[in-house]
Amino acid sequence: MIQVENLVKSYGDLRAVNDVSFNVKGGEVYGFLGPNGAGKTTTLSMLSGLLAPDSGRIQVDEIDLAERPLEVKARLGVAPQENAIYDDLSAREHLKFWAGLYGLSGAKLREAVARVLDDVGLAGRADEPTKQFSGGMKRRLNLALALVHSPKVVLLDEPTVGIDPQARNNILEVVHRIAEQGTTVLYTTHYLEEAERLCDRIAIIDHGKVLAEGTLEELQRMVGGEEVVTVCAAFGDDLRARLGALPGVRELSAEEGRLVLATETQAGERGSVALLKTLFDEGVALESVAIEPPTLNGLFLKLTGRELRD
Amino acid sequence: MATMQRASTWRLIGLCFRKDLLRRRRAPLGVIVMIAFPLFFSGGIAVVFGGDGDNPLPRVKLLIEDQDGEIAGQLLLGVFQSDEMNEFVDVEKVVLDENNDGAGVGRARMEKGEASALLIIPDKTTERLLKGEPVAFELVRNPAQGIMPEIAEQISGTLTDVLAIGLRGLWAQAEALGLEDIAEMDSLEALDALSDADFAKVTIAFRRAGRVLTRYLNEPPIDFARVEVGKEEEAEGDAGKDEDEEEPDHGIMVFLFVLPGIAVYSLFVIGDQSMRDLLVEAKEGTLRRQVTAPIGVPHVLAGKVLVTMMVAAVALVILAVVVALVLPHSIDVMGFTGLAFAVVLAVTGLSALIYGLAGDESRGGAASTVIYLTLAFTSGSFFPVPEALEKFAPISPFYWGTTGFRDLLNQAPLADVLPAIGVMVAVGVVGLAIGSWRLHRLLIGGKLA
Repeated sequence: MIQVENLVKSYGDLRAVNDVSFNVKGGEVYGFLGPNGAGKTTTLSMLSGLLAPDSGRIQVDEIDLAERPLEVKARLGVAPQENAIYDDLSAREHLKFWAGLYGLSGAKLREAVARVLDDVGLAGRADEPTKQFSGGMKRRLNLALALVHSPKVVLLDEPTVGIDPQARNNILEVVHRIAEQGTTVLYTTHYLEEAERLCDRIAIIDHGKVLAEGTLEELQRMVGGEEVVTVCAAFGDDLRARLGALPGVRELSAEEGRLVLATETQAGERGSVALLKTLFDEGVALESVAIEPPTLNGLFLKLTGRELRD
Repeated sequence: MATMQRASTWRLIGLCFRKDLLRRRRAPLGVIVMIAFPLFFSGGIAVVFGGDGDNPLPRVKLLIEDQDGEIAGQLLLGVFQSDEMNEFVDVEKVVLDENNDGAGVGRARMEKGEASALLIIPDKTTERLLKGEPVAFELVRNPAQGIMPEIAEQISGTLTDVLAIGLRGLWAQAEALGLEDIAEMDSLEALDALSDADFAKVTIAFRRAGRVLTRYLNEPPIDFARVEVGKEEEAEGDAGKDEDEEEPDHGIMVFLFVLPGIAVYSLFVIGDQSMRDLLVEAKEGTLRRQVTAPIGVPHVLAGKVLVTMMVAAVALVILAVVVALVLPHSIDVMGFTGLAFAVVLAVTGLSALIYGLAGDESRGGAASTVIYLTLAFTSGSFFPVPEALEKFAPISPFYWGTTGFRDLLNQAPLADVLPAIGVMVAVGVVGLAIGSWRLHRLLIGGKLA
């Protein structure tokens, strides 16, 4: 559905987007994960026709953006990072205006507006001026404006920044729902959990370059890194010493009845498996064991030498 | 699923127009202030300079060219040079040659902009007045001095009326006193034939009769031909005007004189608000968001132009109604409509150009304030233009708008304001083309806020 080839955009000496290429399949939720300033928004701006790339090619639904920009725009719904809404208009007035821009009118327009107001949970406040809205409500309206015309492709730029958990959950649910209905979603975020929860495939981007791309599992495999195992049991110092001496296992913290260890995969064998085997062999009475898989943050750390949250 | 429909250009513009109009309606204060501003400002000026209070009038420089050289001219000159009149008017008699020839002397000085007005007392004025024949004075006005020629005309008109009454009354009283031989004389030598006692009788009787006559005199025996410098061939006396026509009082004249300039300035500020709104939208992200839809900056701009036109139209209708209430004559509706449309086009074009070049709301706002005030002051929109700047005034679109509306208020037909309409349309089209292109380039270059 989206094909991006060798996209480049510079601002003076700064190369904001540096030879970025990726493909997004129809109905897929594709995550663009990277820290602030990585080039996510610039890439999205070029995809939505707001910025002209210095070089490279963008196709949406097999239509070249540079050649037929209006046809591409008609297929897109865009929710920018900032709440681009008018304080003195109501949610319904906003949606009617935006639906009109995409050619909806009459009963179709009214139905579309009512549907999307329900979807984002703003039906009860639809006629209030948005200056009376909370930050979360404005975010939801921001998303609704991208969805009101039922576009084939939705571009969402950090749609959950700066809102409370409840509003965030609502937005993630809406995105999940439209993806289930077959809408292609390009979702930029710097929140690991969102990328992990929503995206079918993820591209990790930094300094304008795509560093890695794949499904969550594929990326996790790329990490080849540590799993974190938390063991809750009655254990003595001897056991602690033996566990810490296992190949690829190191202790992170130890409290009364709770031991946290980092394990690596060595020679194709996961350290966590060796750890559990030892615990069973020793006949330790376990209260609970939790294994956290390798995280994208770990991958980012491996690729860039710094934390994603930095 | 996806609708993938596309709205027509007109529908897109209509949607933008409706959205912006709705926003204006929700926050109407700025618009109301700009609509009311010309009325309040012009009204204030009229009260200050047009009322009968103690506020000093601006000084008027009046040249008098006395081609008559007899008693009428001398009397008029004497009155103008009295202490009372000197509070308002600087009078200078134009020096003629020995043969009273040199009718071009005063005009030549007016061409140089040396005075507010030139009053020409034609040859044989005294003699014709004594015979009861009508006399046409000529008042050459200097339009660059704004309100001053109006004041000069009012004062000259009043004094010439009094002079005519006086001379007629003088002769009537001479007849009544049995000095028929003098009354029948048609030459000025008759005055010399009066004894001191007879002269005293005549003048006392004249004073009494003059007061009475003033109340009943309807048609002044002295007529004015009002001429503006450079338009002598269009001179036409008051005798050619509609008999039912009333002259508005002085305050209203001041109001009507000041109003066009202030109105044009306000219209430019209304246009400025709309264009500034485009840059505010760019700053707040709503413009960028709009153009992610299948719509271009020109559509958004066109919507704002239409809103400007709507607001300006409301302002002009209100002004037209007020003017109609105070103006004793009608004005050319086609000319007014055409000029109003052209001014609104120029307003939006110039604003688009300024903000397009500035590329930023705050820079554009600062620039437009300075530019509009400069253009207004250098074109005579607020006050008469300083002499040194007169020749530069036509460079300003404000000049064309202001003079166009002033001409219409002075009953000029559509044909007379066509040059003003042409200039304003040209400013609008060129400004919109360059401004819109520049704003679009800034936006897709990522440089628009």
